[in-house]
Amino acid sequence: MGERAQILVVDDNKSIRKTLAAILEEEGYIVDTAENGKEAIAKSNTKFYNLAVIDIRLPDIEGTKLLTAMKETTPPMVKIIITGYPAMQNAIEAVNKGAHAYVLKPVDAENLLKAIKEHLKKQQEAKKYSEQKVAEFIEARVRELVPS
Amino acid sequence: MKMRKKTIIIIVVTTISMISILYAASQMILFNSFAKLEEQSTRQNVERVLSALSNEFSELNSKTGDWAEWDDTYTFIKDLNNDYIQANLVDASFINLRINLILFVNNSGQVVAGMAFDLQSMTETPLPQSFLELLSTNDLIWRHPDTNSSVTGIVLLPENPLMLASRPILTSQREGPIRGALIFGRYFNNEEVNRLAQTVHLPLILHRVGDSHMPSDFQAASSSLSKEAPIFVQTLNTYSIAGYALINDIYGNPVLVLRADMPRDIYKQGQATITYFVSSLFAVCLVFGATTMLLLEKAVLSPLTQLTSDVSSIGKRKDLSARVSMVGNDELSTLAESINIMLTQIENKTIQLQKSERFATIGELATMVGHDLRNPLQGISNATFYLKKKIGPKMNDKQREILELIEQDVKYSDKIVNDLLDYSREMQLELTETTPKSIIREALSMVEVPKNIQVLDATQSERTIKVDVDKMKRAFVNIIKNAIEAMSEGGTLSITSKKSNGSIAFIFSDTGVGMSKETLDKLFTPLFTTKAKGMGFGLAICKHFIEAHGGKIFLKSTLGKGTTITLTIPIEPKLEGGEKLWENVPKSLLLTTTKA
Repeated sequence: MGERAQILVVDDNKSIRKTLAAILEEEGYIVDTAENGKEAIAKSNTKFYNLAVIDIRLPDIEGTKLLTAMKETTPPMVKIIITGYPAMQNAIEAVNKGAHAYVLKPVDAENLLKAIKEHLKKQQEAKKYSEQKVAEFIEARVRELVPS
Repeated sequence: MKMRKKTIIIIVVTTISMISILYAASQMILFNSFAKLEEQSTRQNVERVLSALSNEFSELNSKTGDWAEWDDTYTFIKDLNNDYIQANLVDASFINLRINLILFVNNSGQVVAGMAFDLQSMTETPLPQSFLELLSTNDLIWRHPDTNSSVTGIVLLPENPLMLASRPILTSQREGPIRGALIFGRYFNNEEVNRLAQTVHLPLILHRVGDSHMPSDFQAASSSLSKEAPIFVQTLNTYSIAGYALINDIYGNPVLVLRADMPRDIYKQGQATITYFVSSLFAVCLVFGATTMLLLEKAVLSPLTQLTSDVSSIGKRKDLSARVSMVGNDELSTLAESINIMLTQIENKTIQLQKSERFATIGELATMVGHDLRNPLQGISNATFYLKKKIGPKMNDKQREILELIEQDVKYSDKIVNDLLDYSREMQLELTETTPKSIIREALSMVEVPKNIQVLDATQSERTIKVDVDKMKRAFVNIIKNAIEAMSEGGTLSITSKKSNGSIAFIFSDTGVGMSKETLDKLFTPLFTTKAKGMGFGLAICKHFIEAHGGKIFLKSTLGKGTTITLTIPIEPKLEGGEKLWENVPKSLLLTTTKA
């Protein structure tokens, strides 16, 4: 897949942020980090990220609120919420607010990586599919406009 | 103090009113009967006086008879010889006979001889003119119809009443013809009255009927006296009572009123009796009241005061280990005992409350610590993962083993933190339909069973139950692990399930070392453990989970023989605030699940 995916890690804990970034970089992703909601919004406004890993508890804003506060992008950014409360209530709220997945603490790095990989693949496929659709559409229009 | 005062007032009022009523009643009853007795006795005395007076008359009559029926007198009335006068009408005769008057009257009513004598001055007196006139106008006194006739009675003379006896003059052989009448007279004057009084041993007073100088009591008496009621009784004062009698003259006309005075002995006796009765009653009441008060004081008030002061002093000092003192074996000591039992309960509850407050604080603290530990643990976990990935292949065995130890310990720490948070968090159940067999099977698959231990799974699969599968599984894993640990020398763990109305029972029986009673008692307290490793949250969390399902957990254990744990859970647990079913949430959302 040629292009390296851009990932934003949002967590107020420095060691989690750094170690997670290290793991993701080791996997070949380009990683940015934000320690609070404000920084995350600022970064997402200036740069496109394929995926964001967001801690549900942030010092300035709730993780679920951050989901809607971040800029809509094309293709849509994959959002994975990390929560310490394994309750359906949180899961539903997270999903309703636009999260793609929901990971319980303590996070098993292996599982997280698997999830990230799967979702990025899906994103890629969707992108490809829509590009193909656009190409087909253009091709059809051209054919309509330029009769042979 | 109120009760003491009340009791005294009640006793005093009761005693006073009782004594008053009794006093009034006894006054009425006793005085009435005493008054009757008194009147009766007075009447009898008056009758005694009258009979004494009548004796006087018969004596006078017989003396008159002695002289009248005598040949000398019979002769004298005919010839009026001087010898008879010389021999008989002398001072000595008057003194001996104690009379004042001797009259000889012939058949034609003429006084032929006579003599009057004053017994005080011992001198002869002229014949009373008034009496002579009476004789000349009335023949009743001197005319005797036959030889047996006699006349006795009183005639009222202006100077004195006169007691007289008149007999016909006959021969010594009491033969007639009657030659006239002999009349003896005795003045019924003060001396005579006093003599009579001495005879009857009663003070006597005499008054004429119609006397204007009569004392008031005589006036009252004479108006009440009549021929029909010749005796009248009236009290003079508190010391004496008087009886009055009406005395008629020879013509049958009432002429004199005689009063006999008597001391009121009966009245005094009655009064003394009543006084004695009332005072003994008063004494009895006094003794009774004092005894009641003493008893009340000793048996009720003083223990009650003691109890009150004990209780209030315990309240003031807030010393729950103190107890009230108990004496005796009555209702109050029972009350004291009850208070002590209550105090013991309060003390125990207070200790429990302090303990549970301490536990709650520890719990809160532990939850905070748990939350805070999560992040560094996540960091260590991530770092280990990174290192393993980055330089794992290049490491030697020893280095890799060390890295794996870090990984394991982080996992174990995570488990402890999760248990802690699970225990302190409010439970939310996510119910799913399953069967007993399927949960047990899943739980068993999560436990490594050593080879020397045999597990017999006889749970049923036909009945579906609604439980939070994850939580039940974790509870079962905990129990199974505990059982395995108890059978380090090997043994058998048998698991069975049983349906009973509305609930399912899971029974775990091991053949392990068993537990002592002390261990059993503390088993479900968090942080209690017999293991060197581990925080001891296991069974506490089990209980937490089971109870959240509305179930119960029972434990039976014998040291050296094994332990049997029975869990009962309702087939469909009732959730507070209505059932929250999360079954429709896609499972794919849950990428990872916590592991027990």
